[in-house]
Amino acid sequence: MQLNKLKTEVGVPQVTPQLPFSRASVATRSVPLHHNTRGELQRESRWRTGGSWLAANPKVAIGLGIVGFFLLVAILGPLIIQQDPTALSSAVLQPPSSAHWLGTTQTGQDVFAQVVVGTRTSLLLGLGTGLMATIVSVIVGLIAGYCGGLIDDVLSLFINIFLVVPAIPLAIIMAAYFPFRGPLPIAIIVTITGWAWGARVLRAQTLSLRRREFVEAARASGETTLRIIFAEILPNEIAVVAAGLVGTMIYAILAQVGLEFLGLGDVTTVSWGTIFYWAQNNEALLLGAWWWFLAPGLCVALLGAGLAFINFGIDELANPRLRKERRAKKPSQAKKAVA
Amino acid sequence: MRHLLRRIGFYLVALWASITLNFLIPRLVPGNPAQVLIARLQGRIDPRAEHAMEIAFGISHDSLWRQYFEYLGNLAHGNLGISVTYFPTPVATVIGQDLPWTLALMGTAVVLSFVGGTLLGIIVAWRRGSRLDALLTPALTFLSAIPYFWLALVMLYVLGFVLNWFPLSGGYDLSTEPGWTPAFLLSAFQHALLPAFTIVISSIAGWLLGMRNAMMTTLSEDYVLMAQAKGLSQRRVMLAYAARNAILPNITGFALSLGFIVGGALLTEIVFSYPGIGFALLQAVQNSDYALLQGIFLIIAVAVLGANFLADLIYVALDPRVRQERS
Amino acid sequence: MIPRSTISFVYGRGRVFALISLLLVLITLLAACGSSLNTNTARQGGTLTMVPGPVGDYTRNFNVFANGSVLNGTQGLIYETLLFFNREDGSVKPWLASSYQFSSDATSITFKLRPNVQWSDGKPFTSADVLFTLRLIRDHPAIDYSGLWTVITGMTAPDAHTVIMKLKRPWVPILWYLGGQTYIIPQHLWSSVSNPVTYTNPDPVGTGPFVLKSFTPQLYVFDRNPHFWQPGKPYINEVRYPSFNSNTSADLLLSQGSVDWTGLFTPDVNKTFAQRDPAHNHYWFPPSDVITLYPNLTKYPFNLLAVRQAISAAIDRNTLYRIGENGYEPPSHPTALVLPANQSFLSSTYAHTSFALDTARASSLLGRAGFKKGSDGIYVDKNGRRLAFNINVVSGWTDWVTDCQIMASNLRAIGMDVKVNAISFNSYYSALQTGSFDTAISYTNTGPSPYYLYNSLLASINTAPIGQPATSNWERWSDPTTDTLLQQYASSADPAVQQEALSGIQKIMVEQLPTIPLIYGATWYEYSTTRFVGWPDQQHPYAVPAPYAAPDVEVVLLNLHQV
Repeated sequence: MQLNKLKTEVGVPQVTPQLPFSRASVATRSVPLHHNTRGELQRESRWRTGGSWLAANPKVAIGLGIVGFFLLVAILGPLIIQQDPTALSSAVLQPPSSAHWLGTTQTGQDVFAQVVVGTRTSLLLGLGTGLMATIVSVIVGLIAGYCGGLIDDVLSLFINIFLVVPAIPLAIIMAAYFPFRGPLPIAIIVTITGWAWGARVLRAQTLSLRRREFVEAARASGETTLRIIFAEILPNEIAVVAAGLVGTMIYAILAQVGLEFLGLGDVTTVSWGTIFYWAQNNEALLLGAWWWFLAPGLCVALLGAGLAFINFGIDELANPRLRKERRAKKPSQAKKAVA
Repeated sequence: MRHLLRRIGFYLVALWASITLNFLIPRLVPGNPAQVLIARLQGRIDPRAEHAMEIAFGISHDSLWRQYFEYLGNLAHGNLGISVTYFPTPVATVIGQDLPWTLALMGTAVVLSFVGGTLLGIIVAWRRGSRLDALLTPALTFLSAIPYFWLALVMLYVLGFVLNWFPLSGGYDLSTEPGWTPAFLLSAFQHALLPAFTIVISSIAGWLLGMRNAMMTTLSEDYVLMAQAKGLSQRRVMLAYAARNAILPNITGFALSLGFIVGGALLTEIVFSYPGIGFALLQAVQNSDYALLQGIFLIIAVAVLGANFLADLIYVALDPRVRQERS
Repeated sequence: MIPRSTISFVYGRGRVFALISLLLVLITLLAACGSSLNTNTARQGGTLTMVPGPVGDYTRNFNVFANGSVLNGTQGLIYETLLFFNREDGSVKPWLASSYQFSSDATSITFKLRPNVQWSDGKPFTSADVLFTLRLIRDHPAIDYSGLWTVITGMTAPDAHTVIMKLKRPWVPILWYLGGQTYIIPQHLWSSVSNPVTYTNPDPVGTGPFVLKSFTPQLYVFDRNPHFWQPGKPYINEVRYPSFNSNTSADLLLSQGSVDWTGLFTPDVNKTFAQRDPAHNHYWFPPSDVITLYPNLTKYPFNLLAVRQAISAAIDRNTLYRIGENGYEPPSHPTALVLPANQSFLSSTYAHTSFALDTARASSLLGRAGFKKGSDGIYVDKNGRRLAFNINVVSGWTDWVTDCQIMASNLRAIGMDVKVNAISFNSYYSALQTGSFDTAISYTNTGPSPYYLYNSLLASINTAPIGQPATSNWERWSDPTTDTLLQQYASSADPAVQQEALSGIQKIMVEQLPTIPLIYGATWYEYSTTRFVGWPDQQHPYAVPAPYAAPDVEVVLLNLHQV
């Protein structure tokens, strides 16, 4: 459950389509209308909207900042860090100092170097796996939702089976039995356990969009099924897909770290999860070596939080009712919670 | 009714799929429990002994199909086999002894987390834009992004080891005898506090955010506006009109997470040395204990499927629209 | 009681004399009291808490034959062996058997059983029980872990306290397996058991010093056995075994002083344990076996002695010891003898030999064998093959993973392209057995003398062709001289003949390097003298001190008593 809990979070419309807000069209226009100071209805330019919108939503800005920071570290980090993060030394279990910014491990390795170099592995794996799982869920969900009939029944069956098969035990079993260790088995396992949720949500969305006029129109004008699905319906669900993508990425990062913590990844590579594994196996806590596991933990938490904040933004973009009230604030209005 | 029948049919298929997956995975890999045991013992082994052990462990070199049907047959008789890790204890005994602990701890923690998160979500949604929202939501989001085991380890170290506020390990104080006595129940409660606390902290944000979002959308509905226009008290509008509708997705989410209780306690058990079947699962994997592995996986799959079915029933009961339309 | 002569002195001139005599008498009396105190210093009573290791929740399994899963204490505390072998010095003590005798041709052994031994239910222990135990093992090969019945051919019990075992061929090492590792069970209770392989034996009855008092999955407790055959013993009243899921939680309790005896690996035992209470918290990690690098001798270039010698010379065993193993596991002796336990078997030729890091020698060995360094700094042979290989290790055995990483970097530094292959246990073990590996790090099997390690490691009967599973000789060493020497040891009960054989094998180990010994494996042992004393230590190595060693756990607990 710890690895799945985020499925019940932010904005991803849950369970089935008959929800109170299903009538709130998720397929909003991509550019909002608002009344300007002269009371006229105006369409703003995309960029102005983006900039001021970011300013109005500090959470999203922070989220983007955090993720951007980690991406930078992932790309540039290993180039800047000259030393080999796995190099052993006799400076065993040193607390943070000017020579070792985050201290050293039980075998004299520099923790800071490990965290920086490990960012690339962890980030790539997490974001990449999230992307893979989302692609699968998009394909399956949309096809199932649009086609209906037997195809829908079969695909729904698959979705539901993968939803109910418990993720952690399956992940542990698969990871333990893979003949080789490394990022690839973890990626496969996380994808297998992570695609079903998004697929279910997208299928629900597609079902409700199927009968809209623009789809009828496209069908009438003779567009092929595939084109209708991916060129007409998908763009209208992009917000849901985006929210799902970010959510799945969070899941992927946590799942990957969890599996590596249990020792099911390749323990000879450097990533945030394997740092945890070595720290735990060397009783870092008991030895008071807080610096060893503090940094990777904070990194994972920050990255996850950053992604979750981005998801806030996507939700608010998609569902105007979630947006913060920004117009003329009268003191009495602050008490009312009407959107 | 038809809808229910379809769902039941689906669950049966899902159960079969779980069982088959369960059966296949360990067998696709080289090695068998007899070899693991021999290696663990580090002793001279007569080849006859190895063969005899394989027979005793129920390792057969028959074709996969024959093994599969034998497995299904045993399952129908409730025979989950004999565990290798705890040889020669039957798997059912091992599971029976560990399962109640997992259910008790995780069940309580999930319920607390759900109730707390939902209530907080309602409050936060009602006070949208206030400082409470601005503080609580990001803080809890951050907490929920922390890897669970990290959080658990830190809490154990700080609150248990350094400050000594909580016991360090185990399900109960070993000087008390297990039984329905106040002393035992009290010590079991004390030992469950810290693990439950960590589980609640790390999962409460999910419920809160889900409820918050659902509430905020519901609050924009016309009937809520109508209720306010009628002059009903804020509390009544909040609870009886808005929350009641907004809670639907969370309730089904809750029913689903009940299913994951059984499978999700592994990290908790490892960090807190808490009794339960998560640790047994890890042992089973490490010892190639097929029987135990399959038994635990089966229980988990059944629990999850059962919970899903429950969720479906609840949904049908709570939301009349589902009964009318195809899901 | 003052002698009359003293009284007369007090009133006479010998007053000083009298006082001195009085003093002497008092001192004698005190001494007498003191010595009687000394014989009774072993106080009766006390409850001892021990943690052999983190195995998770317990299942009620006291089947003494279930070697991998039987609960700790069953072997030794409840059921006993005929003899006690102290693997820390190779000595043998009578136990349930008060004496043993090999026939002159070493094809039969006569055991005289100790009289007046009772089972914990009061029935007498006799030779019938011994015969029954062995018959059970014969009839159920699944519990014949030591292959006893590949050597034993028959047995008789001429009377209630004598057992004669007949062997197919002379094989002296059987004494260790038969006398030191076979636990005797009561015929009157086990004869009705239909399948001893799957029987869980929930209420065990044995001859040992303790009996089962209570069991829950998180804790089981033993009480002292009032019928035990050693008078006055055990001193301890109760032994408790709480369960743990992980090393962390057990280590935390160890640091807090809640347990008396553990066998845990803890990364900095000084800091987390010893320094917390230096007066009472002690540890001792005697070497238990030899951690070895197994080269696959059927694969090129490991069939070349020069390459093996070069690898051995290039490995920095000190770094393995200090950094890889936290300073717990010192470098092995080149003969692969476990020292100091096997000191008495060390050949004088090698008394002062040791491994030394010598990269220059490694380079010259490779050079003379025809290897030249290529442009990338890696050695290449005459045919252009690069000196590149893998070291296999189980990814969960983290200290060994670190060791392999150290070795790989040592070897890369002199010009070998070495990679560490950290894999799952199943894959690792399969590869060892079938010989599908380059090199692998692994343990060795030991016993009371070096013969057992050599036999397991080098006997051609323990190996198999590539693709077939080998029992323990994974490197595929097959050498007639070695086999002859092993046979020489095994067929003679004469210690001089045995020592000659062992010296010969030591020569082979050192000169031909069939495997590359690295460091010693450690026996994990931490204890506290807060409540109990009498523990084994470096000065008193009277048993293997780990709580998970059987039947040594019995000998230790019998020696302990309250402070």
